[in-house]
Amino acid sequence: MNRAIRAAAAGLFTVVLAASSYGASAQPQPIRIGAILSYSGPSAPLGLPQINGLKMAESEINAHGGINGRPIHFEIVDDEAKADVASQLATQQIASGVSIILCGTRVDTSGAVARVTAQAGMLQMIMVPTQSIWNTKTGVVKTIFQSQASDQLSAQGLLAYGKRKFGVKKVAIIHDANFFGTNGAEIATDIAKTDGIAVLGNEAYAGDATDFTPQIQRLMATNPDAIVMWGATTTPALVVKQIRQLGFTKPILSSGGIDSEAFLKIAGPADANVYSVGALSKQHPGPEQKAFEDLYQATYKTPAVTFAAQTWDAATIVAAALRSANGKTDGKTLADILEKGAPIKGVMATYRFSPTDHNGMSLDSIKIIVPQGDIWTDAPT
Amino acid sequence: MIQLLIAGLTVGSTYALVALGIHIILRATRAVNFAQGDFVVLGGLFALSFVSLLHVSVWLALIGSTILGFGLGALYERFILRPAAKVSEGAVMIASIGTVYVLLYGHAMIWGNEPQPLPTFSAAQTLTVGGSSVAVQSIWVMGLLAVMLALLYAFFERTTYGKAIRAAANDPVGAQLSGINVDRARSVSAAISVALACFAGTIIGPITLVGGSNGVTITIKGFVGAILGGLASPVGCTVGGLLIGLIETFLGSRFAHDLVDPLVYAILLLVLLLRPQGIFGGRRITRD
Repeated sequence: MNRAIRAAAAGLFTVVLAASSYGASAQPQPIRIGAILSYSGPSAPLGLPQINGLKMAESEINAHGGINGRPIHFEIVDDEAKADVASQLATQQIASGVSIILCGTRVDTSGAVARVTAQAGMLQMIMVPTQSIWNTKTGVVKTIFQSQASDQLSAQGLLAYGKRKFGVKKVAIIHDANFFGTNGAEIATDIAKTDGIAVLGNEAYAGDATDFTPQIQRLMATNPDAIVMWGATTTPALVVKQIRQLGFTKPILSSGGIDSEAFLKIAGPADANVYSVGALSKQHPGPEQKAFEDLYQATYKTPAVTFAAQTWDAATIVAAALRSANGKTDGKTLADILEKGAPIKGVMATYRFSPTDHNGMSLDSIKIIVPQGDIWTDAPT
Repeated sequence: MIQLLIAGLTVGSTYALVALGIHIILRATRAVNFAQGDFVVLGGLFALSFVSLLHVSVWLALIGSTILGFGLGALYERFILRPAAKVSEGAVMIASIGTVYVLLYGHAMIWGNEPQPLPTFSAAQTLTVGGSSVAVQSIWVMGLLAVMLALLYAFFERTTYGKAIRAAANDPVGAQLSGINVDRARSVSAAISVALACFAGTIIGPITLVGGSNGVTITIKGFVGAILGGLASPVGCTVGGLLIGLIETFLGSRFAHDLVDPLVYAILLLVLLLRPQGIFGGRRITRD
């Protein structure tokens, strides 16, 4: 009797195992896409909404049939805001068989991964404004595309607004000493000069600094009409607080790196007369933006921010390329599709890529935003 | 000039409290506490929890954070430093370094990775001093440093138990023979040291944010201040910490920001060459 029971149990187990294996092999394998983001440390205010945007995009894409019937899956990992970690993660993800990589939250991590993906011939979407990652001195990197307004566009939009709205004729620049801040400051300087705006001073601060008195005093001594600030994460909020504490009340024109709730929370009342750039119009959203924001609010119970839209658009762009690729996932095929294919409607812009433009956005994509309480809103025109 | 002076003394106040904490725990336990800066970060986070979860004022949060730090310091000495000391001095150093990583990753797990703001100690944000606008919180930082120094002086110089702790630090064997519980004295010293760190983290938190991963940097700067002023002297450690804050700020007004740290360490090397016991150091701390 015991022998019979054991035999029946073994048989039942075998049947169940075979059935579950059959079920698994019948479902299409997901397209695996690596996502290397910074969601710990000082970049967390940027990386966490990026994750939200990406997870929401994955659900939506899969809910609408995936990529020609195949689901996609974003394998999200934390590079801890370190370029060497990001590079290692990229190598690991490529070795594990991902088809595309999205990276990243920071310029240094994005650039580090770009070197790895370019060597592997793999498509990479970057969500940082530094154009030089794909538009290098030796030419356009075929497989890198950008779903974030470039520093060039941001600087153009900010300075044009300052000139038109406040009659700004001379500025002083303060920036993070890292690549993002230094590169942004150089770009802002070039564009200011083109626009006939004098640049009277240029000061850098360490990203982990907490006192900026010497730098701010030197800039204030030049008597600018506005201070241009180029930085991201929470440190610019401390800079703004100290600028106001030291008595400078004129406009501060800042890069989009401060478009976060964290900045508003930390800067508090000091954020008055601060202007930044975002890609989401607060008062006149287009249909894609409205649908995105409504879904984000319903999903996460908090308003959407630009960083979430960056990864959403990156996912949208990648999905569009994959749908036209007839099952191919190599970087060159996908890049050709993006460069030559139809414009792709995203939340922040309609992307019109070309062999010489892997950003695909225009000045129309830039919105000037201001703090209003604990949210960002459109600046008065 | 006034703004630079106040900025330097503000950041120097944190270094002074860290340096003093390093001195106290070193005198009592013969251990260099590499985790002192991370206890500063932890103190700010304690205060944040008091304010955001218990909805108390930042003043009560300051008291709460300091008391928690006192308790934590006693536990730290009893369960980490003391057992390590029975093995070797190297074990104490490793235990202290290990504590750095436990605190660093522990912060993130409990409070998250984002630095957070702490409310200021008064509603007024700025005031005008000598025609210059200065942050009111900076005045609070310097004032509270002075209050803490006065309390420490009163404790160690005017109370019996404070003198007993000093005796236990100076001569453990003699103190033991005199009936002083040396282990308990060491615990209290460590408790005071960590309480000072938590106090520092709370008073500077409204200016620098709380949380983050700069505990090691704070420890190094505090240590530099202690060596500059004299590791064996509490006055030296305090003055050394304030001096480092002032030197950093005034160098920053003359040189690019990335030259400031190398110049500070160059000054430290110069002091070590010319006066290794520090500005106020009269003798070296001896080891048993």
